Amino acid sequence: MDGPLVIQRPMRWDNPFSEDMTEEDVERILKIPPFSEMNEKDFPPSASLRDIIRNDTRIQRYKSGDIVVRKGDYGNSAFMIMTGALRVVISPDLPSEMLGRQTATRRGFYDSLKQLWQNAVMPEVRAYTGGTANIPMGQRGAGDSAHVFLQDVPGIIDKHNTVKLEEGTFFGEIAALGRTPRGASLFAEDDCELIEIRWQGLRDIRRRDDAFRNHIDKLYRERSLGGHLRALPMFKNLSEEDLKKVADATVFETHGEYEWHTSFKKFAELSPQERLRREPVIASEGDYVDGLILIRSSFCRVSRKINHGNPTAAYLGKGETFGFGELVHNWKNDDQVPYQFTLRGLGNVDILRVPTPIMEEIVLPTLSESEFPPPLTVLDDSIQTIKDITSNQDIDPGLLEFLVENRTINGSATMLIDTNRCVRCDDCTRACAATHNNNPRFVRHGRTYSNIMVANACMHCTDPVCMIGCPTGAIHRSSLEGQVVVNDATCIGCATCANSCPYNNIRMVEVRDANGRFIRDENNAPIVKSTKCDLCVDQMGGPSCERACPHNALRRADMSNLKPIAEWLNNS
Amino acid sequence: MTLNSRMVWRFLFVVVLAAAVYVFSEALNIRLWTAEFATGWILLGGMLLLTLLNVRKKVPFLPAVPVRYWLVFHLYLGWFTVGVFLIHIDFSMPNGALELTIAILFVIVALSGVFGIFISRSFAKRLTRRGEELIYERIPLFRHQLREAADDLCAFSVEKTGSTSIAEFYMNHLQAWFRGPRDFIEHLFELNGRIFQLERAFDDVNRYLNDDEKEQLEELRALVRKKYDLDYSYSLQRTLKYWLFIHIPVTYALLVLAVAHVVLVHAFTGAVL
Repeated sequence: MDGPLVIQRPMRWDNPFSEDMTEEDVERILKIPPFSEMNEKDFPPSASLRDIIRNDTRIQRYKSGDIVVRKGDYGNSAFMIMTGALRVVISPDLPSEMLGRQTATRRGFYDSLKQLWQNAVMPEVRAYTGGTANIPMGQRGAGDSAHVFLQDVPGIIDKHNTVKLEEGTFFGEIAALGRTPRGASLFAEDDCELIEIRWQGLRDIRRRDDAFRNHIDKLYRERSLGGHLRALPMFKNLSEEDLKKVADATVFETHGEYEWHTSFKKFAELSPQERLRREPVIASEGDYVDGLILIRSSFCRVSRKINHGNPTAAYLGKGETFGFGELVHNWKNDDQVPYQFTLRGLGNVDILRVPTPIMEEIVLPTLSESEFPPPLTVLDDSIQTIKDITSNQDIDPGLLEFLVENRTINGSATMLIDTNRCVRCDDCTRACAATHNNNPRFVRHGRTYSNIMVANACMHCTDPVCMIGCPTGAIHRSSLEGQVVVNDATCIGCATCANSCPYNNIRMVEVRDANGRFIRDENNAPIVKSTKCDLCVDQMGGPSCERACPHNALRRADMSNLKPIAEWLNNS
Repeated sequence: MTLNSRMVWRFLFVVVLAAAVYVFSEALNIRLWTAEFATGWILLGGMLLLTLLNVRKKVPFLPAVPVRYWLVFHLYLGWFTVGVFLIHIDFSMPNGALELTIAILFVIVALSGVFGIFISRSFAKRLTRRGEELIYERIPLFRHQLREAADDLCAFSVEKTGSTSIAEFYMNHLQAWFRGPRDFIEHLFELNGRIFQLERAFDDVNRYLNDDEKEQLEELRALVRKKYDLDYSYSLQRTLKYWLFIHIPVTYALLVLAVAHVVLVHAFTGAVL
């Protein structure tokens, strides 16, 4: 009788960063500082330094002019220069077209009107003229090792403000660990070799090696923390000296799974209770208020235990704080209250925790009465209904749970359809096709709660995981309004973005020539491009789907502000 | 202000506007002028403006007013033109063949418009209440899949149980029903007669089956319910799509005849006067 299929247990390094890493490469890297200065005994046998180097790093070779990273890109790896030199571009950045990005312009009236007779009859027609598909800059390599390169390196160094980075320089670690956009563009000045370390390796090295951890923490405190704190109104009255004191005392924490998007589809199939159980608790209701929690990236669920459930009271995103009300209450009053709610991480959450003594001694005394939150309503055991804790929310508690569970809260332009008003006429789909190569960039279908459907359209996420790993930087944020867009000219069709999108909102399409025939490469394989909603970034009127809906049934909604959504839903 | 009260105010505004046209036409009549010229031109202008909704839909890339506002304008302008039309024909049946044809076409356009408003408001909600959201173009594929699943289930039933009861039941009651969209009118009016009839047939055959067959019968019953819901969605979505195939072509026919009417009226004005 056939038994169940037996396979080798999946291991962490079944899929190393590069298949090409040899023992000699590992030895070579281990001889270079800071790796040579690390104590291999600090690493456990299950994740030895040698194994991390072998499996979580790779050696990337760039030729003169190759762009290594672009400002604004999202990446999940850091780099160290082994040989050669790079140039980092100091602000202003290189022009968009030079970096392989779409030039951000809106059509004029005539250009808009021209689409009426100029649009091709067939879908996905591209006006290529042969060769390298009309790419305005150079491009070499394929797949993961594809590089866009600059044509005139000496000229660029002459014209732009750049700084040389020599062998041994580390860069990109903050962006990789914090999943924040790259802060600057870098290109190879001459042929060079870089060690690229993916975030898993970085994380483990940071955990085991004090010097490396201190180095990264120091970099973050120096480069980013001050800016993050200064962006919050409560810190704006602080002097530079006080802000530094606050920054020095601030604790960084990371919660949740870094690559949450890869497991999200399976995660979404779990029961609500199981999903909640797996969300890391950052602060628990009833615990001592040990500090102000500032969310630096991703999202958190705010909930409170009612009987046997944990209804969601709200969600918090980047730049929002937790525990401010309790802190102020405790500072002003003799009766001390604990955290009133529980804060759980959704996805990969980076937080900053400003300790209570620092808040009380340095920050709170600088605030005026109007800058304090409204007086805290202390919740006690008499709070026994879901309505009690969600009463200040604009939308139905069930819808709130749905939006949080499905991570729809990630969207800054989520396509919501009210199916009570939608007459299924597909005017939205037709309008999208008319403005996008005769092929709609979304599917009028998706997860539904009651009469609210979240359609399969790019949500232009606050945490755009699709942008991680694009080898040519083709998917990027537009300089117009930050929309996530794909530059068709530099997209190599590798589908990294489509595979990364946890919401299935990016589609790979085969493109055609002006005669409607599929364009093929020299091996007769079809040329594939990544397509997604670009929020009609180049159209005059904005998203054509929303503007085409005759029944006010479709909205592109910014999930960080539920009030307009509530108004739209209630306006029926 | 709620949307409902807004609707009332807009409608009242339209009534006042139409009343103003009536007063204006009466004033012209008192001065022994031909008021029908004025009301006719207002009517034609209104009808041309109404057709702009369709034009707006064809140019989604232009920064024109969003279609939802155009539609509101279209609805109330539609009511206004109905009022002006009644004034224009002096609240009586036109007597010429052309005029009568135009009047009939106008009534068809107006009634189909009202029908469109009604189903837009009610069918959308009914489709939501029914549950699963289906894309209209994919319904034939789902129907085909259901039919194949039902065919397979019956073949499997014969093979597994050695009994033909379920297969016979399927042949007699369901096979033809599974072949295509059914009960169109019944679904439009939500009569539920068919499902009641089928459920009863299922209950009737149930008493002649053993446990294995009963299990398969329940699977078949689930497929029937899915098919019934599929037909429901098909009927409502088809109606939502195809009512425009009356409203728009008749509108264009109406416009052509209305222009001919204007030309003829002006050509023979001298003779009349």
